[in-house]
Amino acid sequence: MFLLAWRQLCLDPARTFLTALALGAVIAVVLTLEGFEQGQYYQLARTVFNRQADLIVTQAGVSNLMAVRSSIPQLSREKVESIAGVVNAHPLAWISLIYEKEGEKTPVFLFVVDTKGGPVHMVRGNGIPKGKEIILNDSLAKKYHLNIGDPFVVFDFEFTVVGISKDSAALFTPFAFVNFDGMIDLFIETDIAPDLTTFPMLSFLLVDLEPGAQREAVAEEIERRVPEVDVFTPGQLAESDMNMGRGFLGPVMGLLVFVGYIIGLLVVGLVMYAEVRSRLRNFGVLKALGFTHVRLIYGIILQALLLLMISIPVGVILGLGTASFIHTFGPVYLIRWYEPTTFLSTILGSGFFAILGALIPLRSIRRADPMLAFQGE
Amino acid sequence: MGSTQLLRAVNLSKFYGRGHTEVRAVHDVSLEIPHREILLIMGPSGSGKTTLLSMLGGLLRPTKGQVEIDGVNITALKETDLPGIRALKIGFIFQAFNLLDALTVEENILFPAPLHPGGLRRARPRAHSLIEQLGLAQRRKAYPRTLSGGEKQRVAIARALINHPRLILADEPTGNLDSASGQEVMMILHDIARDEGCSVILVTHDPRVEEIADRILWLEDGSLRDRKSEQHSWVRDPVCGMRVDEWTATLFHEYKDKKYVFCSKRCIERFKNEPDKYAKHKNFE
Amino acid sequence: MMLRWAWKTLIRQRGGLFGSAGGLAGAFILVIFFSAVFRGEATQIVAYLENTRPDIWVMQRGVSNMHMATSFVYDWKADKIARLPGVKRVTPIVYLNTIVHAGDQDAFSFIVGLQEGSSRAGPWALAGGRSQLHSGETVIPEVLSKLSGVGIGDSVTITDRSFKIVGLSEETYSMANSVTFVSMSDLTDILSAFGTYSYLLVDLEEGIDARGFTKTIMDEIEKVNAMTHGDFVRSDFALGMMMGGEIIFMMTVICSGLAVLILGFTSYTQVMRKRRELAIAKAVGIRNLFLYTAVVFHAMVITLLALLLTGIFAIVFFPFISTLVPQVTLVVSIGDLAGMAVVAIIVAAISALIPAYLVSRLDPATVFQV
Repeated sequence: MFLLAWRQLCLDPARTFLTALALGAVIAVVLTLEGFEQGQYYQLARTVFNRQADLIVTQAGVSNLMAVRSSIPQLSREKVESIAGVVNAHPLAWISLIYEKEGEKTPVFLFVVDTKGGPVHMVRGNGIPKGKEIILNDSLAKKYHLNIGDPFVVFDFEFTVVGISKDSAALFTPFAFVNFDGMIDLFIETDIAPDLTTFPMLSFLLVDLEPGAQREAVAEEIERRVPEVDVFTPGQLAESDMNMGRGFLGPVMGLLVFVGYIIGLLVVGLVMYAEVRSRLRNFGVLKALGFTHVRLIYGIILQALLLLMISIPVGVILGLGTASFIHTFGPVYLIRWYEPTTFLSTILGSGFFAILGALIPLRSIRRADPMLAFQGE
Repeated sequence: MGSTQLLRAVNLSKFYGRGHTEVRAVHDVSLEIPHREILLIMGPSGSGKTTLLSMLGGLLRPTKGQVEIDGVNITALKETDLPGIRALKIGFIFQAFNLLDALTVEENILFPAPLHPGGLRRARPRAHSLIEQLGLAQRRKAYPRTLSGGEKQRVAIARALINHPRLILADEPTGNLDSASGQEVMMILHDIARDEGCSVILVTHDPRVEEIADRILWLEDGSLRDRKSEQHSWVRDPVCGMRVDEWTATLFHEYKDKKYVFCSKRCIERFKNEPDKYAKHKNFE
Repeated sequence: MMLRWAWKTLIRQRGGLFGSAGGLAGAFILVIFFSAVFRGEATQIVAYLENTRPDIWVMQRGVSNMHMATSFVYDWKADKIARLPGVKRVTPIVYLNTIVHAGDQDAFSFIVGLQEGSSRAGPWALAGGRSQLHSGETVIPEVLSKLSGVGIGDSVTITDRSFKIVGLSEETYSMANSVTFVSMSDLTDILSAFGTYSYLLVDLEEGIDARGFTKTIMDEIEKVNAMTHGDFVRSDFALGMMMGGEIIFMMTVICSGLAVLILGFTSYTQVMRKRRELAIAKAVGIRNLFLYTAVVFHAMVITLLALLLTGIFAIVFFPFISTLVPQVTLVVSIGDLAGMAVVAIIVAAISALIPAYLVSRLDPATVFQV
């Protein structure tokens, strides 16, 4: 039956190619959706890891880096730096604001950094903002056609672009980076806040440890000596942020992926239905020769799985193209379909739905009349 | 328990529809076929030959009656058990050949092999032997679309024989073949019965097949009767002059105490319109 | 006659027709699903604004949104606006975007701080409990309560503070921004925003023109932005949609490509299966143009059926999905469906090219082949 299944596919190469293209497109769409979801979680995790800290200090009760308000007393920094094993505690803050230019608005997460916590991967320019300098995520720069030396105006305050970064976006929102001095100038010279205490000027501390220092022990000690804070490893905070992301993206993406698989099931079902209908006579002959329903259905499932295997590389190529397309038009989105677990789950899911789809013409197979063998062609 | 009869059919009937729309495709047919016999079933179109063949091969459930093959009552078997009988005991040969376009000659022949307990291992030497015997050695790797009609039918015959069936059922095996190929296929079927020990039931219009048949049955309007091969009564249609076998003809008309035999309804109608013209015509007397 | 042939061929194989239309409908559903998600989210983003419905919203100058925005207005500005002739009432709120920890659920939320004892600007529909809040109390979305398993009397955590649930609100949940209510004093404390509010909700006397009054407010009060309710809602809705705009566009293109391939495959299969009949048609003298018409007709029928299935699915099942999966709010507009129809027609036209090419290459001599 395997030989027949394979040869049937080779009999009409054009049709097999077109089928592989259609099925491959479905696989590409599912890979893209799954990759989109994983990309969001990856971005959330990278946001934490890119701060390059050994430990991260948050306000007590706060267990995320993104999408939360965290405010630590200013003196916490000194207290943390006084603990054995701690080399430095770099301040970090962020606020969300809406950048508007020529009527087009974009939400931006503005990270406020000091000696650490800025962008890790630069496309061009300077990675360390000073004074009224600002570093933009490349998607933001592309959208507004901004380049090194251009002004970036928020709340009537003008920053100057000194760098373009990548790998600096999350939750569909690009990042920008300024220095604390620049932020203070922004507060003072504009109406962004009635006074400085309104803003969480110190949201987090990025802690560097001495070589050989025990992370867990130092974290415990910090929490003991500075009870108004909590301490996390980057891994813990990243996991927390990813869980938050899963909470609100998971259901939507799950639904979309499910719809994608249903399309795959229908495409396979359509292909196999057409295949069975066109070979009804053959099925009658095979029944006359003594082949059981089970064998015939097995043959159809084999054919569907062979088709799927041909379609997978097509799907990968289309997936690459789709991801490129998205990265070109929407660079703030990251598509990570090449994650082994994502890829494997898509292939396995596709296989399952391909088998289900192959069973759609079950009734036609069961009803194929061996008497057809006696009819003229 | 052994039986001298390979196939026994008792009171087989197949009806379609009910009441005044009922059609009796086969009516109360009984027959017995011993081992190694070549049986020819002839009859006009629509007489029920294919229906009878299908019931004998377990492809169609009879409305009444039963079929026994090698002592097994196949009509009493469940639908799921019939494929096994067909795979191991019966070989089918069709008018339209019904080869699988996607497979080569050799692959077509071997295709039913996995249905036998011996599988492909047992079947390969047999396939090789059949290919040689049937003159297909040069076409072993060819695909059906490149074969002639005669070659295709020989492949179909080899496929039917691969699992050593006891019974071959052939529906119009020479129907799509030229004279020479048809002759060749007939001789192959004759040799099968002799050498393989199979019984062969042939359904055909082809009168040449009578030469190789051990027995000839005539099926008309669903009923079966014996017919000796030498029984022919050739007369001429008085309208068109075509030779018609009076014994098997179905269109008759009496005029002035003389029975006329016709080949078609058209000829009968023309005769009836001008009986004197055609009855008097010397060429057709 | 060729159209009749095409129609009868389609009808004879209903399984294939519905299978093709089903696969195509799936691709169309994916397209509108994205816009339905973002439209649903945008609708939820403005749900609080819509239901609060003051005549005018006042916020910090340079700000024209609530979602993802930061705004601070001195409390004395609220008093000054309240004293303006024509103003019936000014209700201040304090506002924060952060995570609410409820049971094992973390929900990204608008936290709205309400004046104690006031129900203005609070929850507009309650599933249980009360809406008037005191310090240490909160009203959370009923859906969040169900998802997390916490209810009235239990606690949730916002930053490092615990709040007791005294009420469950309806129509306030969405995946990206639920609305949670606490007392203003608590939220002011969390924000350390003493002496400031985030937004001022201005209700005017009967007959006062809201749009004109926004100018009055901005003339009288320095460094504020005043917007009519309608303008403010539109601005936030547009931001919500804009955030999804790129991905909607891209997924529309991608899924339309998928639809072209599915329909192209279907049309190709149909032509190949019927090539003998098409060859017969050619052999008896029917021109290629009529054969193309039959092929395009075939593609159009499947497309229209797919659109119908998509429309039915969207109208009937999307609300059902939202009930089943409350984290997802799906809203389909007539505009979305109309846009989808345009996409579908383009898809049908493009996908008919392949079978049209095949038809042009058909050899009428194949009718003589056995």
